[in-house]
Amino acid sequence: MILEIKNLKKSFGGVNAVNNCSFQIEEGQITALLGPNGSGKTSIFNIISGIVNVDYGKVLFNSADITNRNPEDISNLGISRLFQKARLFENLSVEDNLLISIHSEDMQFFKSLFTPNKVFLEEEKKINKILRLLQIEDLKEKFAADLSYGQQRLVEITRTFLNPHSLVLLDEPAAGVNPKIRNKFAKFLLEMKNQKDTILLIEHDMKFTFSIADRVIVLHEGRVIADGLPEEIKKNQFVQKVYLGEKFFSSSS
Amino acid sequence: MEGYLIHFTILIAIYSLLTLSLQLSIGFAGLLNLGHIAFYAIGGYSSSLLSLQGMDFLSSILIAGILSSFFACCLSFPTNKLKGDYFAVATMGFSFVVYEISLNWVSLTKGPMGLVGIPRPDILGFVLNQNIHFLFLCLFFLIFSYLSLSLIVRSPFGRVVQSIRDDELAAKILGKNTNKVKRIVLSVSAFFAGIAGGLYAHYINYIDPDSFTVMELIPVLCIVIIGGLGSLKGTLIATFVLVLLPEPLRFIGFSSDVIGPARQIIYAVLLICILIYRPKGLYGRFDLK
Amino acid sequence: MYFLFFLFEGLEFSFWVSALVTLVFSVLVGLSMNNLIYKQLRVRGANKVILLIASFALLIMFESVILIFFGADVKVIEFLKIEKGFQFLGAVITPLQIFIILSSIVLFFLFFSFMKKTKLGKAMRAVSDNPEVAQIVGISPEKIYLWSFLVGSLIAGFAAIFISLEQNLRPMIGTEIMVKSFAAAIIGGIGSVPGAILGSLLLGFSENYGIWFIDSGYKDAIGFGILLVFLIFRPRGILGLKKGLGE
Repeated sequence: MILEIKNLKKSFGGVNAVNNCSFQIEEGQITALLGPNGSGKTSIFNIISGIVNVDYGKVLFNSADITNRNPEDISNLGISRLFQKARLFENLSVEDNLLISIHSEDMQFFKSLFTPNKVFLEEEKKINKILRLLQIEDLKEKFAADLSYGQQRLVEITRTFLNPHSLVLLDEPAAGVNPKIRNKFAKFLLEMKNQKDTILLIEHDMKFTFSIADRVIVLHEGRVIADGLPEEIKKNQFVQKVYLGEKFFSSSS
Repeated sequence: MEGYLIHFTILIAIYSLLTLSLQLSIGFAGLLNLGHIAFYAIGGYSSSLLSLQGMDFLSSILIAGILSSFFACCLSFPTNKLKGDYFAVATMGFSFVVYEISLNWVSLTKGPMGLVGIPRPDILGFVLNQNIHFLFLCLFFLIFSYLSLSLIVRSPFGRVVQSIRDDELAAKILGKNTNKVKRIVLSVSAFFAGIAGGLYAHYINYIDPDSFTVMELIPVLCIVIIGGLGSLKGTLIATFVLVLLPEPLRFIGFSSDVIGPARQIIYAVLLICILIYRPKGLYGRFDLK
Repeated sequence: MYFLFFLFEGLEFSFWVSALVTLVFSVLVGLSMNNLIYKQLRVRGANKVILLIASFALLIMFESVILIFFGADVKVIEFLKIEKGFQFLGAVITPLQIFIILSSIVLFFLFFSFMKKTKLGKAMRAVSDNPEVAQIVGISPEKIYLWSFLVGSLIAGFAAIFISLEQNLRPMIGTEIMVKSFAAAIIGGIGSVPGAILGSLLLGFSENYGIWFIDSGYKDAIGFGILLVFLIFRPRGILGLKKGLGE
């Protein structure tokens, strides 16, 4: 059990975004967090990442209590995060974006001054490996601001996975990109799982989700209403009711 | 004529220290430090006071830089969590406080009377009484600062600095301690501003609180933006051009009372025009988001 | 303020005429600033930071112009001569000060009801909250900005007149007031009219009370000190909403 959420409660100005939510994430799996809009998924991600403070409850990562810690601390403990909207460093090149993620010594001012442009071989290799997997090596020199949205998402996923981690949180990675890129993502995530990564993702695209998830957790109004294998969830009547109006196998909204 | 050219170049050199350091803060880190003049002032006063007590120039100017850094570091604690425009006004407020203190702490700064008779630098026994020698000193500092700042922005640390400018939350999520980085940037920026202050004081041999008012920021800010955000080279070129620009006023024959404010008007108008018509400036790749 | 000085002392119009013309002038200046400068910036997609810098540049520009035409020395507008004040709760208060306080209260009340009750006031708050949504509902943000400048400059004009009567004129006074108003707004809470009032009162009181203990020259530094304290511990201010801070 790599991540455990216990009795999380969080309200924003009177609205209970997260209402006594608890679940556990196992290592080496792709777990999907589903639920209608407003069910608290992104809030939970924000709580885990340390961007938002909880009103009540605990977040345990590898049995250590990381509740309410700083985002940078949580990242350094091994949790990587992808946001819902692309957040690249627009005025830097793709390569710089990736180097920031993977380079660990850039916080040391004086040391970094005297190793100016030396891109360590190890890092370069890792970067190229992922770029190759996603077939975007040609983007390396480009400026982030010049990329299309789909390309930005690809780079951003790369950046998220290059950040040293043992758990990755992906918030709607496939939203807003064309089917070709969506397939790339699916293949990529499965490959990462093969390399022993643990992935927790929020998604609305059912087809995408069910093609890669090992386990599905469904949220509604801030708490878990279903938790199990994809096939079970598909047949779950309550879940279907909660998604009133949404066809189960529709492509992304 | 020659004397005028030398004087002019010295001014450009001193201004460059101010503009380059502010560029680091605004253009590279996204920290809109409108209180930059405060560090200029702290440097000027510290260096002068120490020299007047008998300390040698090199030590006094170094300490001036370090003191400015120190205050910048302190200032960053309350201001780090402020968003762009709030940060700007808060730092401007700091500038005011420094002005106020320099005006009122008469036992230290002699208040409105200012500090008189600040000695020309004495380096290893060689006193820089001639302006041409002083110019070499300024050029030395200019080159040193330009090279240091270039080194910083090209380094991995510099990369993180820029990432904070572009998206601070994303930087945090990648494990970067953004508060620490911002603190360092502000301190380095203040260091060079402090040195500029010291050089100015030892050149003119007299400073008073009015040498360092908030108004003094306008030319610096104007240059930083016109030169282009994120470009040290652009800043340097812009400093040269824009310090040159109001000089013809002197020859038209306005009284000295008018020239001062007139310069500010020119810079202010220029700044507004640039913001409207070409916010990227000359060499900038982006504008103030 | 200097316009008032110009009209009253320079051209020697009667005070009330001067005051009125000053108010009109104030509004005209505000509106032209909006149209010539801010609108241009907005059209080109400027964000708050750019607008702030432009405002700062404008401020310095005006102050420099004033320096050229009026000089750097302190000016006084001698309207209501200093009369003996009344004793009130152990302090002395002059008729002029009473007049200013009462007028201010009236103005506050008017402004507050304007913002809360009138359609225009509500529209202003809507635009401040979310310009795009306001547009969808049929409010034109540009028109609102125009009105805000109008109302804002008008109130500023009143403030200018009051300050000129009570204190003297210095070229740099604009910047000082701006920083203090900002501090007051932050302390009282951004986005709240009662907050602004509360903040200003608090600031004023602590500054003037504080100089009993510290050298009077440090009056402004006290204000800034309080601002810093608030920024560290309660950036929202006393009555404020959560806008405008870091994540």
